[in-house]
Amino acid sequence: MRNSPQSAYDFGKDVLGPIIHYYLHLLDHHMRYLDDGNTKFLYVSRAGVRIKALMDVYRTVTPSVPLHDEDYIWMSRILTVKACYTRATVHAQAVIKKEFPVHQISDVVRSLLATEPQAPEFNQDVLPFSLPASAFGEVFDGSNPVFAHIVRHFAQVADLFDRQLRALVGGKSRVVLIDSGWQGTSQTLLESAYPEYQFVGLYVATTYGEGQTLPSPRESHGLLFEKDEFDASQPITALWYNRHVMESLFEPKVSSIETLVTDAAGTVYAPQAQALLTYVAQLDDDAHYLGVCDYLAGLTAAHSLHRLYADFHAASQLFAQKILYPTKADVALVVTKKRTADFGRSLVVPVVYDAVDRHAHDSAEQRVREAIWIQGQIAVEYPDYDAEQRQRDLIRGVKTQAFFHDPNEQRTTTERDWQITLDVQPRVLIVMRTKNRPVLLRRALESVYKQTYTNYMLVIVNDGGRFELVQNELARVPLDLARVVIVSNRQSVGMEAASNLGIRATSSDYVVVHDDDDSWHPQFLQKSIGYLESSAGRKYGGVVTRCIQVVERVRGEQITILSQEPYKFNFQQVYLAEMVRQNFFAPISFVYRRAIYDKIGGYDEALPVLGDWDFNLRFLLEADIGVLDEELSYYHHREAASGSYANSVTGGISKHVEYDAIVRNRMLRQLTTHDSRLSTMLAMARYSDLILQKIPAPGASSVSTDQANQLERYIRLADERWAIIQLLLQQQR
Amino acid sequence: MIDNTTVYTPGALAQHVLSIDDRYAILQPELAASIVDDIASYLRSPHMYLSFDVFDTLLLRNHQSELRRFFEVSALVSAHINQRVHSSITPHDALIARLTANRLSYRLSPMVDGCREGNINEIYRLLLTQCQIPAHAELIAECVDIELAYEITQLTVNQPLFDLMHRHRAQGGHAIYVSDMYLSKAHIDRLFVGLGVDVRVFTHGYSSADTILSKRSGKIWSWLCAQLGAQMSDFVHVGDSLVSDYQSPRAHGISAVHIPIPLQMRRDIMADHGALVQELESVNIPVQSWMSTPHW
Repeated sequence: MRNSPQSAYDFGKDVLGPIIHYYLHLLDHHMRYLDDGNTKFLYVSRAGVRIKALMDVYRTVTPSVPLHDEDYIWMSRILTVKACYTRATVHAQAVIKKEFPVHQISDVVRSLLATEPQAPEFNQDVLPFSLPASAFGEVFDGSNPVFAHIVRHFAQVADLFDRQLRALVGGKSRVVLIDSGWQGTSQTLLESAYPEYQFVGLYVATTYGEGQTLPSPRESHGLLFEKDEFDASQPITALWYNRHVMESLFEPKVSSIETLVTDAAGTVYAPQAQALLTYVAQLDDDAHYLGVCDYLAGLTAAHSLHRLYADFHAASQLFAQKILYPTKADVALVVTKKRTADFGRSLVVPVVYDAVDRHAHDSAEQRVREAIWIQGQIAVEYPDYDAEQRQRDLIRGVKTQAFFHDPNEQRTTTERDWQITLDVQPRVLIVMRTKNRPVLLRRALESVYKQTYTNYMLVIVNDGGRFELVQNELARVPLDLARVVIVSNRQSVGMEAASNLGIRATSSDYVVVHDDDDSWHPQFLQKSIGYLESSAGRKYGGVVTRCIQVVERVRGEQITILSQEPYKFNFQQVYLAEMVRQNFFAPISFVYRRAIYDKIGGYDEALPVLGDWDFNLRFLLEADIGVLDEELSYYHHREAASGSYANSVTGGISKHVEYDAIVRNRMLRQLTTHDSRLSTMLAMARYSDLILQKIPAPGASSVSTDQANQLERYIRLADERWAIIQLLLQQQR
Repeated sequence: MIDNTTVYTPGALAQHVLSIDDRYAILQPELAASIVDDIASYLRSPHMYLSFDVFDTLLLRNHQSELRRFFEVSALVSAHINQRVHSSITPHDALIARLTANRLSYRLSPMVDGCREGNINEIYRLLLTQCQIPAHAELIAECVDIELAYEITQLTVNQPLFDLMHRHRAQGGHAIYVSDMYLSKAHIDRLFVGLGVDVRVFTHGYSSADTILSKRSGKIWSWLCAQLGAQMSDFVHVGDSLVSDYQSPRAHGISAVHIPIPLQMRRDIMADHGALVQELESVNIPVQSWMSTPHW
């Protein structure tokens, strides 16, 4: 996997050079904007040392007025945690917890005291040192002699750090931290420990997505991007897949700053600082950095903004190609260093493992899972022709999880957002059935109002209720009225007829029923429609999301939530055979294509209850339904309610039993019609239901002989019935 | 069944405006009268505050995209700077500097109650600095003058709304404008004057470039009430932005009328934007990530 240093140097000069040039341009102008005479600019070690060095080169070819006050601050994450532990205990503990996910407290103690020459001895196998590291915050106090030593150590570090910071900042009120990125952990710690200063973070890039330990800093700026995922319209966001490229560029081969001391005059300094400042990069392990330096040094003052930006963009595209779809040769080009673990540890982690088993149970798949740069690991594990497809699948998979981005789709997110506001016809029709439930209606209107996807038409079907109640609630929720239609019935026509009236009131591509007592997560429509329009979702006639069942109580204007739990959550796919047995999702979770509704003739208006089940059965005869594995809908039930506030399921329970039989019987009577497939399954489902009721529950310790015999009889019975059904089917054919 | 069912469209006027092909049709007597009547229906008392958004409400923009405006202004500004200081800034250099300056001005300006706002003077200071031109106040003011003069050629006065304001003022009412914009009140007033509007029709005017608090954030409304000694229920706000001019005031208890930008006009703007994006890409200036979604 080793490439020639010259190739890596060329990558640094030709690809990273223009990217860093643009970053420095942005950094310089951010700093100049903030340079108000009351601001201290601090380059944060270690990365800050190199950023400053590169900035100095940039400024020699881009002459400008010197900044008022810039300097280095000597710190590392572990030093910041120690320095801020007392003032920002909760945040400091959170960082420790994240750094030691599978470790013991003994590991934490060793790391925290790694720089202490007279660290006390302790037995790692006894309490509290044998406890998981996650318990550190709970057991850490001064009563234990080892912890007492750490407390003293923290106090000493805090004092030295405090003196360093205050000496650097002087009387200024704003502190700008310049570092590589990505989540501003140290900045958040400092904000919490030093509320008297306003901290601003200027980072190469920021990502505040999953796995974030602390709250985001109050003010931080990612100069190249602020994204939690790769965005094809910004190729530089490929860095998200291998941030190590930037980290290693800014990381000299000198250990991180973990101690501060004072000189004879009492001035605080970092013993490793001189080594960092005077370190001379070598081609063997710093080829990227040397390439970038030479790129910057070769620039002239005549380098126009147009060229700067064009070169940056061209280099970003090349960079994205190397990061997202690397070949084996590219991996050697990109990875010039192993990743060093800081935080008091001397661990060195490869960014990409060699394609050889590390232990008896190792495999290519495992190494791909564990690698820092997954695309790079795929490249070294598989032949090029196979690797590229795997790399593409990986990106597609991540995007599908995030936003259902279709890689074949050329439009950017921004363009799609714009497009939404240009469509003449609303894409989604939301039908909201209501009748004299203003409190619930208000919540339902707010649920629609909060949707991040807005290209809908809301049709409120006031089915025999007081019209002014609907008007009043509409006046209270700032919905776009151009997207609202009210269909008002003087006499109630029933739930299914109300749905049909609403759906037929206007055209759309998709339909969803949002009853007045249910609600959505704000991203319900965005994610559901995104899914149905993605390459993964196009084959489906509709999509259901996971759902939370909410039990609540309504007293006057007050809605009290009593409980919440996943609603029939144990399905991964929507099987027609399973739907035949019972309905297992609520209308609030289901967005479907209108074409299927039209084809099956809409909802059966003769059914006072179970109309949605009947609809789902007929729907599944025409099309499949996809499952979006996120809890985005809320199915609300009122406990022990009657009248207007009753839920159709709990309020009409006897009707449900009655119409369960009616729906099944009607389907069975259609054995000689085109719906015989469904009738057959309905029959089977009923028998299988009977069997299931008799089978001991999963987890039952044992099955008695009687139970076993009974089960055998039911299976035999089902077999006999199945034979009869098959015979009927043969006769039909 | 037909007698049993009635269909209401509470946003019929906004729907109609959305569907018109010619953006300037809202100035025609019949449609203008419908809009004015709709606004007037919220005026329960002659002493209420009639509040208007400025751009695309009182002053109608043409079918050019924001990017096109920036590019054309950049060309004018770069030519002026080159003449003044003997530099060689191209329109493309100036556009890149302008887009970067916009972003910096919006993201780094001092925060007020969680809000930030760009500022035209700051934008030109940043533009000049990026082009390595000393950003003297005089040169910044000249660049701003060029931009204002350009804007005047692009805008059309929505006279029916001014007529309504005059009538409301004559009855003892108040008329104000509230704009989310990087141009200050002084700059906006210069645009009005340049377009022949007597700015005395306004009892007050506010721009987020000065207040920092914005309509979009919703923070401006209680600030306005405090400034004017008024209640939320004393205002009727009118504007084109669904979020800033309609949903934001309504969420604060202010009556609001939404006069959206017609869909056809949005398409024209998008087409113009797309054409210029392609043109810029052909000279290696991809600008997509710089342009935010318009607040329609």
